[in-house]
Amino acid sequence: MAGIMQADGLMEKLTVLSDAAKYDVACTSSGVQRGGDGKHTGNTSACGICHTFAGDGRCISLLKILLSNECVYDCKYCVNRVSNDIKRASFTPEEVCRLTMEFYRRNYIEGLFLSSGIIQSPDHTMGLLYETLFLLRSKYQFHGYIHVKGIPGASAEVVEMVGYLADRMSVNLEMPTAEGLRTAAPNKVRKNILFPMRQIQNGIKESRQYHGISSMKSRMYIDEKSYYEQMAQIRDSYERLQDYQSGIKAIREKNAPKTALTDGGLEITPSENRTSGGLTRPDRYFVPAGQSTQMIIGATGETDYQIISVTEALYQRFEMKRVFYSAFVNINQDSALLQTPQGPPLLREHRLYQADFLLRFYGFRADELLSEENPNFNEQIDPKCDWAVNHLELFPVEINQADYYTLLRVPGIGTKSARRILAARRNAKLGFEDIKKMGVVLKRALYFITCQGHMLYHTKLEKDYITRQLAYEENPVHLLLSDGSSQSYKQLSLFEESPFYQALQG
Amino acid sequence: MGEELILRCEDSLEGIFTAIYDAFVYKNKMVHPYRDSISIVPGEGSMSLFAQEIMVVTDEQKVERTVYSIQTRLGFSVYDTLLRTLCHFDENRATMVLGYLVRAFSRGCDISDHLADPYVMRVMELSRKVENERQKFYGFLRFREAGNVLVARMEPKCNLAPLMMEHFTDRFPNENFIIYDEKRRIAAVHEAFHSSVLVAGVELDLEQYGKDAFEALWKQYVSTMEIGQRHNEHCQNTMMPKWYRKYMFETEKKT
Repeated sequence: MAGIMQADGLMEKLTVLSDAAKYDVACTSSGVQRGGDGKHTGNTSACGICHTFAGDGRCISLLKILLSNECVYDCKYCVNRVSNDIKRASFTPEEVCRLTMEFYRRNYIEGLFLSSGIIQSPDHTMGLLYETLFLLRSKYQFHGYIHVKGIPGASAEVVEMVGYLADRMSVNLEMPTAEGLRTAAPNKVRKNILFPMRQIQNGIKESRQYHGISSMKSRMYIDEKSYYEQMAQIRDSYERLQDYQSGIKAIREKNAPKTALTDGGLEITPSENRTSGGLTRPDRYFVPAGQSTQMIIGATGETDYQIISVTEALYQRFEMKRVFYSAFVNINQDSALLQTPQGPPLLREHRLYQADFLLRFYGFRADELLSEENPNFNEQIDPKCDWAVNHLELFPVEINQADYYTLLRVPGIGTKSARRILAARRNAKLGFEDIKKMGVVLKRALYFITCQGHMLYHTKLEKDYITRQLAYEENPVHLLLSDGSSQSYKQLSLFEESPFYQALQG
Repeated sequence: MGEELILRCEDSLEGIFTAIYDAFVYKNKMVHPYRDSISIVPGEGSMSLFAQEIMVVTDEQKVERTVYSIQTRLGFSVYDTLLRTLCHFDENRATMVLGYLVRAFSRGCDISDHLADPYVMRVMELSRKVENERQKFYGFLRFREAGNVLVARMEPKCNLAPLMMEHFTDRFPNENFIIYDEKRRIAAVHEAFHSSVLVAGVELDLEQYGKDAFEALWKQYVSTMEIGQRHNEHCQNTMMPKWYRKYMFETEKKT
């Protein structure tokens, strides 16, 4: 084995290409439940499984690598940009498959997250990704999780073919606004990013509708029989390697004679007819775990309000499964982007994730959390607490009577504990002891709830008093930075400058 | 008030299911309304001065009947919850499950919603703990290639060996593998394309298998994935407490 590693430099390639991929945020393996086929390796679990945690506390569940870190683009924030003088490397599809399989059977990973720099053209790159996935799914019979990047600018045909093999796809939004993208990524156009997003969205919708699922958010429970049939069909239609390679070649040249790919029913129609985004085979599972995207926070000058408004639009108009935020790590020190002397804006990223969950599961709207006048999140307390102390007129609520969405608005009550409360109060009157055991965080919730008409303590119901208590309670610096001594001092001075603090003084 | 009764049984799933069977027999003989006066103690420990104590002998038939009536009358989700609860290390787990069953048979299978009841709540807490630990081990277990078999070692707090195989058999039907609980000496063994078996009380020395060549690659991968500017050991320790890492080589510091 040591011989193999030296012979093709697998260790070095893995180092270069995982180092280049690590700035991608998503590492989820969730959203799709699929049992094994009883003969070959792999299944997927709807809740996702974390296999280890890196030294920065981020979960590692997939083998996250680039196929190649060569790139013709020159995005200012990216370590792989063409103008950077770094070590370049490329995997062959076989190497990716072998690594994935060997890691998977040792239970190191949940699957593969494959992305790539732009080699020659977006279409060529997407074709290479397809080739790798095809090998992995057919020759290696891998049935674990696969997350693959959609390359902006790739043609709709090849995106669709990749979608039948992958579990999740994501196209990076990169920057929250179009202006931001223009400054940071001169080779990328917003339109080229949104187009495949829309295509994937429509594809997922069509495929879900065919399988009787109306929700775009829910987890997908796959019917194994038809899934493995689908994989067998895809495999058969490319049985002869010759056919398969001529097909890929034809796609890359974009003037495919129709016969090259009609085999097995996977008909490729000219792209003009495809702008409506329909799938050629809606009966197949297409990106069953849904679509995600990510954007970089703090490289260009957007406010939090702009960012969560974009997020809200992504959830509503593009029906994303997740939107990820990546605190800007300034690797290139490019003068066109903002400088981050205090390191990546981790607290801001954290607040955005908190707000993101409020949008997805708690029934909040972006304009309830922030506004043009108050465009950034409070440093001291989380967005939900912030909303609650500004709406004290709606509290306290009675645990034994309030409806689900009212309970969800209470700081310290999450979706699980709210559901437990609803179930339990049908059979008994609940007290503070009971709800504490159900998972309610009383030290946050106590200002906002009553149980059978009583509050837990006699406490002042005053905005600044509660805010101080909650801020003391949270201590976000401790949460985010193990060594954050320098930042914790900064935090204090920020507090005094923040509009919130000034409002208190005034 | 009826007299306190303690059923002492073998410290195994079979032992506890037998004791549950017997407990229902004693309960049904009682004249007064039942007030949770029976407790089940698996193995040694917890003596009481004023209680009557009865030794329970494990009986395969009673186990089957108990399991069957839970599965058919209360459903598989209740059965799974109870099975998980019984894999916890808590001393009172069997007594809690007994109290839960007494309530479940009288109130029906939506029993899991009665969270204001202390027995139901405790069973929920215990099974949740076991489930969380199982989820962690699904990810943190590491197999090492040793000839034509993959071996994994673990030292879970709860008795996870009986609960792990469903997942891994589905995932690796084509592999021979062993998951070995070093503390309890229980091995879960799977032969490729066959169903798996649980072997209790075996001494396996898995230390002897040397390093696997892919371990170096994986270790390198994990250390490369860290973004240095975001280093946060506190978060890493929260998500992956150190006791889980006994057989996870990738986070070992370089020596």
